[in-house]
Amino acid sequence: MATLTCPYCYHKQAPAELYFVCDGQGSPGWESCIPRKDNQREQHTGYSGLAMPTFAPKRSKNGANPAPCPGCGASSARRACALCHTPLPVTLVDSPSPLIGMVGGTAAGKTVYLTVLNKQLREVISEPFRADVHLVGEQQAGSNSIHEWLQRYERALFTNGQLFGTTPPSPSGRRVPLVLQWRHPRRRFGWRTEFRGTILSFCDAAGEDILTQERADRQRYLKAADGLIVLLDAYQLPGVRSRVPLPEDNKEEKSLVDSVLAIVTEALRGAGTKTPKITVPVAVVVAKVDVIEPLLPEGHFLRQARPRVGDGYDEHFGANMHEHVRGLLYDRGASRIDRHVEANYATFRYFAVSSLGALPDYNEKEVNERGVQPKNVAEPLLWLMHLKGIIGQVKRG
Amino acid sequence: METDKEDGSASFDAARYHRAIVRPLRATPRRLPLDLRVRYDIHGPLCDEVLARHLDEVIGCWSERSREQPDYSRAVYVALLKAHQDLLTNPAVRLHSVAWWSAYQPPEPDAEAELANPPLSDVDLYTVKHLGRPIDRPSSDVAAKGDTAVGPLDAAVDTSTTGAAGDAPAADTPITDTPAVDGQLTDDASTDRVRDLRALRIGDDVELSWIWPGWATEAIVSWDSDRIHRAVDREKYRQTGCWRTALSSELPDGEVFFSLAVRGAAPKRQAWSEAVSVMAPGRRQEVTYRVRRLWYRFPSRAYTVAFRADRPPPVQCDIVIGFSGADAFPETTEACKEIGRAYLASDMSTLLVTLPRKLGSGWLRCFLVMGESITLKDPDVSTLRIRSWLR
Repeated sequence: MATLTCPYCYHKQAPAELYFVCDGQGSPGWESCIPRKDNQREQHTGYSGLAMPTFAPKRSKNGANPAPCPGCGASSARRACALCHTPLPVTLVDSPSPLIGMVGGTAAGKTVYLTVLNKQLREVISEPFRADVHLVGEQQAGSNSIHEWLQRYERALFTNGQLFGTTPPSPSGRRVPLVLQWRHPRRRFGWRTEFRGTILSFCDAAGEDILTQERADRQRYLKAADGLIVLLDAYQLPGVRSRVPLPEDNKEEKSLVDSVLAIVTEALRGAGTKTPKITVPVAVVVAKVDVIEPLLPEGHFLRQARPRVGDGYDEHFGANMHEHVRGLLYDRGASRIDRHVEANYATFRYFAVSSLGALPDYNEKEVNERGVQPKNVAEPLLWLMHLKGIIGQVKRG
Repeated sequence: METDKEDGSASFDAARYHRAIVRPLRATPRRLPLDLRVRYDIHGPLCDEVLARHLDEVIGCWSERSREQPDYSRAVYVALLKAHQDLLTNPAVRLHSVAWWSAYQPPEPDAEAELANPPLSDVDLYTVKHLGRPIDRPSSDVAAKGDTAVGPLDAAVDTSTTGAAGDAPAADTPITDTPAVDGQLTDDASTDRVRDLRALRIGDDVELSWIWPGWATEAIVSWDSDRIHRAVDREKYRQTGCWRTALSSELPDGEVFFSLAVRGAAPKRQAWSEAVSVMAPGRRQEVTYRVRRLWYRFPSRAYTVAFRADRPPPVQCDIVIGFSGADAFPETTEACKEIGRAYLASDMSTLLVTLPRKLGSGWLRCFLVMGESITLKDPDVSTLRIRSWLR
């Protein structure tokens, strides 16, 4: 039976088990429900605001829509997570969507990556797909919301040219994810166009949250993820450290396998993987590739090549990038990464991305004078979406 | 031109001209000799009658050759004729005047690298037309330095849309009018030009990036001798940090001059910055290759490596075919064992290589060791993987 994962608390459940959310319309002879505090929601998602009450579906009705609210008798069709009671986007209920997790060590640039990726998705990547991309969910708007957080970060990065400080770890191990709805048209049977929706949920965990196995095990999104983007800091590649000036945050040398990959692998294995290799597809991303570019010869694939722009994923470009990045890892003394990934993951691909596109001033925490010039930031996500059948391959001319 | 001293007639050796001037240009047909003496094969003392007859012979030869079977030489002759027609419309150039040729100064040697332009380039003409004064012509170090002032621009632009923009990722708006220029700027604070303008050629596309002055809200990019203009909104530019456009099919290979001015709100009106220009490098010649296993041969360790150039290489390419037994794709020749060498002198070549059985699995990859102006493009990497039962 198909299950869906709540993009807010990562609880896996059958669609029939989903709760209903009262719409507060009331019915003759009954008093309307009013918004109230939901302790269970606060416990699982950290949302402490008022929300409409939720109720469980009746077993006899097999969870059929709509259902009457036991409090006010109003008929409701809106569904919510059975565990955290957060109302779910309709698209998610209609077509279970993949949950994309993102992890990385400290100072790997996860927050910058997420901010740039989100802006690229909404403004650049969605164009050739003619896709509608927007934030969804109650927790995405209002003060201290993810929407406000995103706006603040975008303004700092793109308008003011400022870098962010390190993301503080979450004491509860819980972090509000960024939930986007992606809807794009697809041709069926040659002439009929239908719109297909997908929910993309990204969690920006602090690097400290996966510093230890115990902390990583508490990251529920890791176990629930249908695809994972693992960010590796290019400054931590041995062959790079010895040849470039290191920023203050990266002075300490950390093994990328021991400090990131092995912990993530153990957390995923702990999620009950029975197969010899973990089947969750993993995009292993060498971030901050602008650091490496000056070390590569002119005309090198990673410096020059660009993916084909179109309404799909450029598989040819992706496959070539995979091998070139693998070659780079061996060349820069990081072959351990490849051996670890090869031994533990059934489906993986390497990427080299740069969120900023040019070396920033880490001391002054300023973006390069030329502005933000993202490079290949959406490729890992497009690959995962392609694997999940959400998008096709770009047509080759 | 060889002048016959006895009867004063000139003889134009078309075969020698073809061999010495046209053949080397076949790979870059838009890159004509900048020195008009070389282009028109003018040598020695002249008189009006000899000059006229010589020019007739030269133009006649170009015209005749440009109608022959299509090949790479024909493209050069067509370009020569086109450049000649352009020169005829230039009042500053008098090709049929001996006095003009006597006073003619060939361009500086370092300008040879530039795109062939008439003595007074379109960029200069643009500036003269709008400003009423000539300026120093940007030299070939423009591309290296990145930017050079062309002339001040200061006026409003009609940015009415006339058609769909090209398929550039950044939104751009074709505009009909060039900036009308009055040569005066009232707000000095608004005269800062863009800084560090860079041009990157990616196939048929050109990617420009620059540092905006704080006050500017929009940029106007023009190219192809100022015939094409696009408006670039600053907010749109911020999305990608660059601006990319596809060049028209008329400009596929040569270098292209781009000039860029920005505008923004001044206290009383729209203010324009000075224009900055940059030379986008010409499209590099591309050699692709394909590796195929010959299954009908036993043992099947024989492969063909087929090379194909998009046009005949101007110099012979020296290509090493290397094998690496490592897990990772080899990045340099040092990581490989050389198993063959190809010398590409025409646009196609095929080489048969047989791998010794002891080499086992690995990668077959070609590396260009000679031919600086050429790019060797790898095929799909998976086709370069060599698999063996041994390992």
